[in-house]
Amino acid sequence: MVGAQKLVMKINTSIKNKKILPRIVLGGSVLLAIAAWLIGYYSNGTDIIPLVPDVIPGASRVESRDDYYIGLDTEGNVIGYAAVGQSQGYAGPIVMLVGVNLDGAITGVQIVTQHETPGFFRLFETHDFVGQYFGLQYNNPLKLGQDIDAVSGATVSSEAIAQSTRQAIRVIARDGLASPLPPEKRTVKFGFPELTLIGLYAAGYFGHKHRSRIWKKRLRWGTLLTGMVVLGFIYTAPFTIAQVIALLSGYWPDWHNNLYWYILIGGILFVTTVDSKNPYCHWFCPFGAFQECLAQITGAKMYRPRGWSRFFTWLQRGLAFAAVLLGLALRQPGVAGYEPFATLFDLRGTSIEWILLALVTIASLLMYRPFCNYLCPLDPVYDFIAESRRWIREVRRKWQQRNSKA
Amino acid sequence: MATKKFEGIKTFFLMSFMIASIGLIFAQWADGLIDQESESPSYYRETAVVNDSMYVTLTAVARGYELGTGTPVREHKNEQNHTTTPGYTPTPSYTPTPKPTTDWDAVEQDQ
Repeated sequence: MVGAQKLVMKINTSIKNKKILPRIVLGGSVLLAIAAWLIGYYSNGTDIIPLVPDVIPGASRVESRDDYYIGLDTEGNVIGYAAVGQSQGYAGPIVMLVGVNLDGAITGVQIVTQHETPGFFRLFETHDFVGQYFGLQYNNPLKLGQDIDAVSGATVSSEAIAQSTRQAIRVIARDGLASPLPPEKRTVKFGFPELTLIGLYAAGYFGHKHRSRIWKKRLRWGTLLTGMVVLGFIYTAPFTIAQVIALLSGYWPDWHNNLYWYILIGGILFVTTVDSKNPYCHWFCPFGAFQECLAQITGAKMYRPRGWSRFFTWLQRGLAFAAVLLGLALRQPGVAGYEPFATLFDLRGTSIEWILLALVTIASLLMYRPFCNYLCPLDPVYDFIAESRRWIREVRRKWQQRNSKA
Repeated sequence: MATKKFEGIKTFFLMSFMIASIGLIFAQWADGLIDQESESPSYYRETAVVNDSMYVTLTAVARGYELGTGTPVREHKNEQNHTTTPGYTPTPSYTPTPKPTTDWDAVEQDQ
């Protein structure tokens, strides 16, 4: 009884200390995220066989082998082969089922699973992207820009579909048609966006440390505008919560084609963890730059009503956490994101996304960066990393003190 | 007095912005989830274990023959999902099926 009272008193003292509450939330959120991850992982289905006749027309029976399927007609004659290929899209793996007949012609291509943002994924239906494959031979290049056209505005997803399809075709060629294709040359994509990103990180890192306020301000405007134009309007590749969820879900894209993704996320995590500075939001976030440009027009200032500051901070964290849980539990990072970034920079989105963008644009004329300060799910991600970092450092310090006393 | 009134207007605008934005975010989530249900069957996971008893599987097409109707019948239970999946399903004579008739651009404009 006395022990319980002591424990309650200790908890009360810790809560008054103002450190324990964020840490209880931090620990609880990690546990909930793990639970959501497990739910998501174990709630996926497994059966692919019923889909095979869709890509091998005329197949009445399907034989399953180790990594491919054989389509047979009613008399038991082999009429085609099917296999599954998988590659990482924008927000998770894209799984393709491909069918090829005995002449080596592609008879069907079907998207089995995808995790992309719904508004973007609709583009594939509109453009009948997979229809391009029908009738092509298995030994054709099947590459974007050669015999396959990418869907404008969804290049990452187009590349993932093309890569998954090629992967499936290779399995069919090797195991079904017994005519293996030569190994595919994989080149690392490194170009202007990757270079710009590295440059922006460097500018942000040294800008933080620069003593002259005038130069710091000039440098910051330079990086903001570069970020908005290059990462925003030209490449539409800002940092999003969908990428964080994809990272947590284990949906790591192929680094050869997605070096940008690794530089962006790796850079943010590295700088935030090591230097405790947010290298992205204030220095080159494209959407933040857009809001800041609007604020410059009207001279809008930061506004936080008195007494409501903590409420808004926790509301923003709650929204971000809900997005993470939703994305992990459903294994759909693209669905969980709610930032109107692509709507602005690529001029594509649902009517809801357009309304949200209009609302944020109007609010940006009245307040300083309203989306960043009240809604953006990425700010709580930095808070989470920063709090974890503080906690780890504190534990390490205490442990070192104990050791030195001993 | 004027400052206090101005402060009240600003708070009102901020609250309106927050309520409207959160409503839109929830609507966006709901919209995305409804879309996902109809567009992606998500049957497959890379860790799939193939049941040995499924080695030779009678498909819905063959079931039609077995019943002696002479006409293949497509009626497997996931039919509804398949038709809405963006895929290309040629006919048995290898002629391409028509492109999806849903014009999503038009749908979005209507919305």
